[in-house]
Amino acid sequence: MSDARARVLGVFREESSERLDRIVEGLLALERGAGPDAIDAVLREAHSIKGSAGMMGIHDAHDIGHAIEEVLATARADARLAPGLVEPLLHATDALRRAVAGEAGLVQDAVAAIARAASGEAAAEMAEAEAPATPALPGEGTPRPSMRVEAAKVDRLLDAVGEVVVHQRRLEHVLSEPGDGRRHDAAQDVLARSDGLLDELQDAVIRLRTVPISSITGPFPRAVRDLAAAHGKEVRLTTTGTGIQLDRVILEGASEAIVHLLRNAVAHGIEPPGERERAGKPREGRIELRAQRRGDRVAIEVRDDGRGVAPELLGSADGPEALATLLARAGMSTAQSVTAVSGRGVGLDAVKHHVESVRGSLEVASEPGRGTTVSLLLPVNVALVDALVLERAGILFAVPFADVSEVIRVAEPLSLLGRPAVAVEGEPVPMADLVAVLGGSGPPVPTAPPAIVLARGSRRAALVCDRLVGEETVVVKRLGSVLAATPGYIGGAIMGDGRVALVLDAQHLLSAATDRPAAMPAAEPEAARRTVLVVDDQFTVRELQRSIMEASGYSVETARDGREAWERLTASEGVALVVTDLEMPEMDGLELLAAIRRDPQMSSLPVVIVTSRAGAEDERLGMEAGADAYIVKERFDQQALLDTVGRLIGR
Amino acid sequence: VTPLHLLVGIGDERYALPIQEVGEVAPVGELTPVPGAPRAVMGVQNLRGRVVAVVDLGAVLGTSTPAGRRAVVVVEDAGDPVALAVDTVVDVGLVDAQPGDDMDAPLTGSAVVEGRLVGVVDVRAALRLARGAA
Repeated sequence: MSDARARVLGVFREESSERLDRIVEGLLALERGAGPDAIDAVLREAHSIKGSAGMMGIHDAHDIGHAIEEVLATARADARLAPGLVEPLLHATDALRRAVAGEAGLVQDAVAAIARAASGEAAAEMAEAEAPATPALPGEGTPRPSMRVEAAKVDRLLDAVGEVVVHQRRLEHVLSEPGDGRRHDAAQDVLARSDGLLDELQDAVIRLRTVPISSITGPFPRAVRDLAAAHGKEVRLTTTGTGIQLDRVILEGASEAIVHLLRNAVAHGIEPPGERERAGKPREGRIELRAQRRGDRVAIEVRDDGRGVAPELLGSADGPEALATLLARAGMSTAQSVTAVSGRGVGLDAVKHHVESVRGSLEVASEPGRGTTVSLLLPVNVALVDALVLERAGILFAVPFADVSEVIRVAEPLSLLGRPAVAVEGEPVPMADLVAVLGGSGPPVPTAPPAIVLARGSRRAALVCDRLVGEETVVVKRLGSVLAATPGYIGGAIMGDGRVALVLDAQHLLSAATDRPAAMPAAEPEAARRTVLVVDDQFTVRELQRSIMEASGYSVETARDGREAWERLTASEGVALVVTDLEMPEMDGLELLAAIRRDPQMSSLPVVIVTSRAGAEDERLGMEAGADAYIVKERFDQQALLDTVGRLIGR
Repeated sequence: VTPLHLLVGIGDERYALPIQEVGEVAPVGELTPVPGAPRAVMGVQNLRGRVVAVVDLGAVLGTSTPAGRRAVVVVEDAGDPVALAVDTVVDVGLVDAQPGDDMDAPLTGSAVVEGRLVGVVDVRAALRLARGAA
């Protein structure tokens, strides 16, 4: 194939792909009762694909396009498309997509199916007389002229512009020294002028890398429709704000995540039609894909009006980011037994991980019975970051502004649970030496040192440094393969004086500064990790306790009732402590406790009872049966459980 | 395989790097240490607008203190440039390497150049060691 033909073919395929998306969009609108305008729009797109395919000599695509066009031409004459034709037309559109991609031998089936459906509908038509509804096809403006550029070329351009900016900064630095008279002044003048232009150039190149969100949403309405049908549900997807532009790399990566969220919303969020009716909701569930700016980020939200997240999970998560973490964890640990609760979390871990890898975050908000909103918060572009520059141990660090909630001076250090902290707006926030959190060491910080407070969701940490240097917009570059496994950095940036500043990964620093195990100087040897067996018939309680204890460095196993726990305990050694509920099927907590106390090997195994029975009598019964501690769920707080466990197995 | 090698000096030792591995040679720049990085990584430096990790080749090969590193030999690792720091770049020359066995350092063999024993560096193995040695 000649280069020229390959190039034209590439353009044809890209164009057709957009047209195919519009055909599907139009057909779905028609299915919902859209009027003759929608028929015209679909007809136009099919006609264009047919025409181009004919010129390119792609006969299959031409013939299928022609068949679609014929049906629509008839529909236009009638001013309505028979509802039964949407399905076969969608199938034909799929076939057309494959034909455009180069697949052959699809024509006969596709054309025959359309013809069959069309003749069937024509017969049914006689008996039927139905007034067509007429909402218009969702907004479809005339496209502005555009040019297709290979993405890698834009990246190279951005690199080159970045270099020029660095040289410009160096020149500014040189000229900022006192100099000799008029020529020096003139040079500064020229520099100042080129500075503005350079900013504009850099902005323009960065904008070149951005594409509208709508460039990936084309297949979504169809996907949601098919998925809903497969689950026996009725679901309608609406999209708003998809004209917002994002960095191509970020958006491409997010595409899969969005599909996943849509899938979860259909499969686990929206209830079956009957259940919805009983709950007083319309049969048809709604999913809204909405994009909006939030500060310097873009929020892409998938909102459904389904059953919402289970109340017991909601209660145990402090804020939208914590709920996302909890659901992600729940989904990961129960992939084999999907329930309504864990279902919302399936694959959410991967979504969360991806979003965080591009410096974004994931939030989940939910109202039981009313619906769930999952938000991907994404930075607008990857390369350019507004950052706060600071110095510690002679090293320059840059922190993205988006992650800094405030800058403070640490006059009076406090202690929070035995660890350093500082009061920020009256609340204690864990505090650490920046260089120590990263795994290095440095000379002591000055008295009353400055500190930056990092914040993401409800998580905060203060990191102490030697000196604040200033604000700078930096181009973030990779640190390379040798440092890929070193945590705490998203890259490096070249400063005006040519030095390299390390760009910090706030997500990692927050975990390292706030999680106890990570803040310890050295990881504990694996053998010293104590195993806790959590026994509870409620999935959410098990998972909550698991997450709390794993975060504190314990290894956790779970059992659904006393019998399962007993089987685990008798199968092998290694469990250092049991945390159990009282009321459970098969074998309850007291029976389990009695069995443990009777067994000569296990009689001294510590057992903590966590229950919703708050009566003093129950507590007495529990303690008499030999429980080492008794925690009531209503009074339940993480620290009480951790303190109790720590006291019993000596940590 | 071309026997052309870049000869470098680290402390009192001489080493040879296969010339096809070498992208460029540059002076050591101003280093930014990276807390938490593997032990052999001296830091990152600005190499003509790129941010490049600088690995102490001496530490990887188990010789001498890093005090004398004045030059870097830039090699490619998984698509990223990596700077290997040495004391001096001596020469480019033909090195008739004798494959060695039972060597614990990341060397593919040794040779005698102008009466001196020269270790031939296995760049891939050296980079693996640099990444791993915390």
